[in-house]
Amino acid sequence: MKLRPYFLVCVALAAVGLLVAPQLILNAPREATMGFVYKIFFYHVPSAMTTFLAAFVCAGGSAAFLFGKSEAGDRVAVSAAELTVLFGLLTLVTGPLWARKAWGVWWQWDVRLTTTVLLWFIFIAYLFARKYGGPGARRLCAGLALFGAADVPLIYFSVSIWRTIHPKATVISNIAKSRNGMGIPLLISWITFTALFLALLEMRMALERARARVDELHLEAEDALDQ
Amino acid sequence: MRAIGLLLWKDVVVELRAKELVYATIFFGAVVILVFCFAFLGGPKPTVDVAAGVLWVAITLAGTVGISRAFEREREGDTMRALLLAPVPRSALYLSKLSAISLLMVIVETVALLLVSLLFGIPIGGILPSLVALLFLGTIGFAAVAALFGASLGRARSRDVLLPLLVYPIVVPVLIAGTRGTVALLVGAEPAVASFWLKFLLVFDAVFVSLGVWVFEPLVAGDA
Amino acid sequence: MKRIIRIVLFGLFLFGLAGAALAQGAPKKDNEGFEPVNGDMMQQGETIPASRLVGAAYGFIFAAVVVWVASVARRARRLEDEVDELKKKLAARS
Repeated sequence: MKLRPYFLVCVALAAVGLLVAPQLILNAPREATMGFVYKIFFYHVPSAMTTFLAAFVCAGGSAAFLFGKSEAGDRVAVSAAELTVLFGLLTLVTGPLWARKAWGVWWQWDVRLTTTVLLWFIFIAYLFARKYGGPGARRLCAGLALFGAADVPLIYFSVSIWRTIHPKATVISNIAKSRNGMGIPLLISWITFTALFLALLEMRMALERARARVDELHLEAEDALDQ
Repeated sequence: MRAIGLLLWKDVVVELRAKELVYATIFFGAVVILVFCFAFLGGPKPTVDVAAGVLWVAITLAGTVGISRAFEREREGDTMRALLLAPVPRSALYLSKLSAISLLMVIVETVALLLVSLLFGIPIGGILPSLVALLFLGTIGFAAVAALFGASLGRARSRDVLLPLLVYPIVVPVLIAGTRGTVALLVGAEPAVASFWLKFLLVFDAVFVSLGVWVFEPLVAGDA
Repeated sequence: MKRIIRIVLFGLFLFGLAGAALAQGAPKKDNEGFEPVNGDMMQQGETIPASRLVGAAYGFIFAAVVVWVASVARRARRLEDEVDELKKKLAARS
């Protein structure tokens, strides 16, 4: 299984990030209302951003596969879909852990969490359909990814209007507004997560490339054995 | 346009002969509403939210069952392959499927609406036009997504469970818009609220019908 | 491939641990001679200290990534077994 050179760069970046980020995070100034627990914010937000990045990468790959008939596009799509589910899981676990302190409950129908849940379900359906969809599953999943990505702004918008009747969660906007000293750790965390995403994506794509090669070998072997 | 009309007519005629699909789907919708009644009624009078929710959920479930069955019937007759070989533009194929599904769902919705109004004791006379518009736009949105995935599930092994799995998360905005709009109409809120949700559904429909037309051909291309 | 994955896993694990450990340190004293408050937010009726939630979040992220990398490694291993089988079949034939 061959990994492309940028893989090492990303792993190095991610490793450095993992080393540096916790220190920066723990030394970041305390947020006025939240105390210690808001430190989760520094990995919850980058996880969420990476989830959406992965989803759009998947949609891009799917478009390339469906319209450009690009096999590489399909490999990107399936790898990114798995990572959407992975990072989505990270977001959906760290979110409630923070919410427990912030809002006193494990779950709330906050706009962003709801959108992430739905996106997560769409990509779980992607993986499910990929495995059990039979012939033509790749194209079906590509269509699903495109629909899912197009749906994200609509989901977000509809849920945010739906939720205006109920008390809005203002924690995120408060933290985003009060910048003092929180910018750097957040930036480092975000870079770390993005580097990690790219490294994992390359790893998964290498597996897909190897799989494609093995399938070719199978066909060649069958031909050779038939002769 | 002519192709769409012809294909739609084909579906209607096939259904009129068997009537299996329409009756089964209507009955399923009615049963679902009844089950919800047993779940929610009997205690304090349920709110308008519950009635609206029950209506839209029943429509969604019945719609899924009907669509699954419709495509199953097509698979049995290998109709899709024949249609793909015919000199018909692919977009016409998709739009005719969309229209057929919408027609089926409109029939189911009529029954469902009357049932919900009766069983939950909610008068709908005054707001009927707006309610019908809401239901119609919601149906188009739902059908746009379901037609695409129903057609492309092909010979998938778990297609019965895959269709709802694929469709439901994507049509959540339709459900939100539908139920919120229905509630706004039923409680007599400002017209602006309901009209907002109507406009939202219009946008949703425009986006997903266009996307469906665009994606349909490459999606089913390999099935012929 | 297996080796690379193992190295990556181990590296991530080490760096993550090192990061978490180094970050502990001693609480800084600011110029008034006060040490920062624990900030676990143990209010009345609260049962879960904030530090446990933060630790759980960080730990979960770690564990999830490691599990996923391990699953990719397992699939790669299965692929390699397939290739070995193919090679054996071809060798036996020729």
